Amino acid sequence: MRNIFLMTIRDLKTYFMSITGYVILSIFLLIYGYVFWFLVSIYSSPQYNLNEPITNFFFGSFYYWFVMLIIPPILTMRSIAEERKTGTLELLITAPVSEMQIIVAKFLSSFIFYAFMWIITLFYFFLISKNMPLEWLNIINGYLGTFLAGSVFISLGILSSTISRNQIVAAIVSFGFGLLIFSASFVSYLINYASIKPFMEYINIMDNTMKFSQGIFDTRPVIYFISLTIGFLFISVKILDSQRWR
Amino acid sequence: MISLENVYKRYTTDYAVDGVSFKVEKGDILGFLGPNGAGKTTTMRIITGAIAATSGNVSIAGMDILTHHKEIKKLIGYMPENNPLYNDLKVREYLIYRGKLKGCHGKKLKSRFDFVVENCFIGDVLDKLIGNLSKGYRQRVGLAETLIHDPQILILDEPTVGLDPAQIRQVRDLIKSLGKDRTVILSTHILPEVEATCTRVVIINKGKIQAMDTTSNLRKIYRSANRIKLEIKNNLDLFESFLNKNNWKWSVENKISDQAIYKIDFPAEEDHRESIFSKIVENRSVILEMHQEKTSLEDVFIEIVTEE
Repeated sequence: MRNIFLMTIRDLKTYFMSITGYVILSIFLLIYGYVFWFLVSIYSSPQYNLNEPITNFFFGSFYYWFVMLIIPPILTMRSIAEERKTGTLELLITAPVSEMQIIVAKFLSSFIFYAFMWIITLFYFFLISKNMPLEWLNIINGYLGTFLAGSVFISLGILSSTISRNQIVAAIVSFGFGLLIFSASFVSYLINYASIKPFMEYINIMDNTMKFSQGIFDTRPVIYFISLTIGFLFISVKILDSQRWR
Repeated sequence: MISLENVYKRYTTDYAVDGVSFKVEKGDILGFLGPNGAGKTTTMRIITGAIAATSGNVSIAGMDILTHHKEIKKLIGYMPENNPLYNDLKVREYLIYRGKLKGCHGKKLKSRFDFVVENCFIGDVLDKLIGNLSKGYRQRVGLAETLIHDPQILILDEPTVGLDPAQIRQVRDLIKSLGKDRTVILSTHILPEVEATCTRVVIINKGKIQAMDTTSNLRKIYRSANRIKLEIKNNLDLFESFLNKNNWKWSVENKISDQAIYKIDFPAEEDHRESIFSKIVENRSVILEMHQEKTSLEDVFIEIVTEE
């Protein structure tokens, strides 16, 4: 536990002390600032009479998914690939820490940075809370969904970084596979077989995430996202361990 | 302390380590010699657990490396080839981080930190970023990191690369003093370093151990000839006829009228310096220089490695 904490802190420092971390953070806030401005403009214009809660759009626009698919690969591409390239992975592996601890620490540091980015956007809601009725439980639920879906893509990014030696390749692989498992969700709209349809609906990442922003708290997607995350991390641990045998 | 039995490591089709067995005891400083690509680094990485052997047994402090991986890692201080470091950390942060990761905390960490800073001479760069350090400092920070948790076993892959001669001597002395109550394995290309530091030597080539002994024993075994270098003046003809009479192999260099340098080879166990001296006196020649050349580890190394 102590080792995981130590390694997580060290990796978090890299995010907060390097230019990369701030570039990702600023671009994210720029995009989301624009999204927010756009939403507020629409809601305040008399032309559109929107009855839907703002969270439906805040956690469900095109931008939301764009950010969700792009940011985790960039955040995680360095994690293992960079350490392998510079040789510091050898220092980690020969220190008295397990492969599991290394992977979990890498995941946690990326996840904490990702969560930090999103938590900043809470400020937007405080800005409008005086002038607009807000369902705070909905908002919190929306963030929960964002964190859970994000953890899936972050763990996928860690897995890609474990496989490759080059961080650019890691980013491309994790973006590609992220897009694929995200798009695989849409198959459920095409399929009509009663035997598979419930399963396809269950694994639909987009719809499951949307449920959170609509204020529906269901334990099934929670379990689904957490098990996907653990699955990807488990494979990463096994791959990292197997590399000793090559 | 460290024992390897029939260790093989195969990369796709080639064996990088081809049936290596040896033992290292506490108090030994083992020098690992071999040409580039001989399997030195691979063997060291197997001992540290960074990679696993294809077959064979590795046991450290009586524990098998596959089953007691975690306990063994605590005992070992490993400095990998090329000395990888985190460039975005300050030296102080890096040493504290690595110390804690290796299970050193509180007072013990403080005292170990002071020890390595003093003994690796990095006191004046503690607050600099590692990425901005010169190669010599990087090397010393790497060594300090290796020692921070007071390991019983030190595995150093080319520890003195990039250091200047004075620093090499300091690091050599440090390794020597550490080696008294620890087990040290170090690899290097610098042969005088091995002669100065190591108690035992393993020469490895193409994944196989070619020779393993103390440095002095190795010299004895591989000393094929005893060579005397002799510079004399006057009456060279008389001396040359004396050499021919004894049937020694000799050659002459820099012959200028009545002065020349001779190189004379004898079988290893013979020592003819006395008789040569008295003969020269008898010939009324003058000795300007007489020197018996010892077989250096370098000669042994070249002989073993180029044998086939």
